[in-house]
Amino acid sequence: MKSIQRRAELVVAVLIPATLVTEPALAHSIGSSAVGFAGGFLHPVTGLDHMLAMVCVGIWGAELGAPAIWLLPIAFPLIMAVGGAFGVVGVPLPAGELLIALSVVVLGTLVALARKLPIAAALTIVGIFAIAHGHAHGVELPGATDTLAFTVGFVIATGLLHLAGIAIGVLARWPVGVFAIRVCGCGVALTGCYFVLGYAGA
Amino acid sequence: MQGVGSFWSGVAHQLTSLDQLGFLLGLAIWTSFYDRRLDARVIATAFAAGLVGVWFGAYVDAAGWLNLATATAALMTTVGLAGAARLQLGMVPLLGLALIGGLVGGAAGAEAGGRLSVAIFSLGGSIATASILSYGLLAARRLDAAWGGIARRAGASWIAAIGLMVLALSLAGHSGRG
Repeated sequence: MKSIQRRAELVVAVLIPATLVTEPALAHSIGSSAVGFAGGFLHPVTGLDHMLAMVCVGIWGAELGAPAIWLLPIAFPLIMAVGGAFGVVGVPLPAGELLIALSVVVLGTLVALARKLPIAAALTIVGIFAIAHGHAHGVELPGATDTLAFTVGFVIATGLLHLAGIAIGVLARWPVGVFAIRVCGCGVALTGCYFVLGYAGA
Repeated sequence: MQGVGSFWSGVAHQLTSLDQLGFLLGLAIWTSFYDRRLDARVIATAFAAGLVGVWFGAYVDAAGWLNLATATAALMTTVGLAGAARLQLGMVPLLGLALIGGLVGGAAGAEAGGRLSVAIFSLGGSIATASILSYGLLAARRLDAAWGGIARRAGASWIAAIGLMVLALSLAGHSGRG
């Protein structure tokens, strides 16, 4: 046991100075990556319209059940990335902010009504809104400190919001959960109406 | 001592390169949908390709005629889509992607290696590549439950989404790096 410990101490004693004399070929500056990641992660989370829509996608997927419960979280980031790519290369999306506001209304309403639609229809609805949300992220992407880290951040945040929505949707197993989800859906839809009115007023 | 520094620099480069990490994790996820017997071949292929890639990048100046960031983003997108769709196309596409990814990753490392010892830098980078793939496969294969397959596919879709965005950035002329 002592000889193993001594060997370990010897290895550490050699390694630490060795790392100090390296010329690190770091692929990224840690500081800028951290800032970029944080910015990307916070972008969907601090945007109420983004956050509500992403969570509602997860809840609605849980209400629809299989295969939507897993198909939506798999397909959404990809479709969103397509929208993001459009935003990055400068393809305009007419009334993008209005679409995002409408997404909150529509998804909140679908959650409140627990509306079951065919999977193709569900994917189409979610896909249209995913393009709009992705486009909004993509437009901001070139200005980020570290665009790769920013992208990683907002994709992960979006996925986690979906997971949160699915976790909330699982509450539908209980009657009180069903009621709570429907009330939340109504709240989200009303909030979306406020966004739409705000857009119209602007 | 400079050799040891080169080794750790090779390791550090792979571990801090988000796009390389994304590709390797995506490759691990896709491989996890195949037979376990392919795991060692994928790891070995990526390891060897990484070794060769550094030399290729250092002495052929791959960065001069190939945008390595765009290539890596394209690889991330491809491997992510393959994993999200749970494609099973046989051994050749899987090993081919591991080979190309290893070469591109190695060449990207060479670009950053500068005055370091190429041989030892490449060894460090390749060992890091093999380690990331190994741990990624270990983690992915543990997710064997019904929801585990879904989680792996969702993770792969995230990687594809990131790759697609970075690819768009590269094509639009943004470097993508801070």
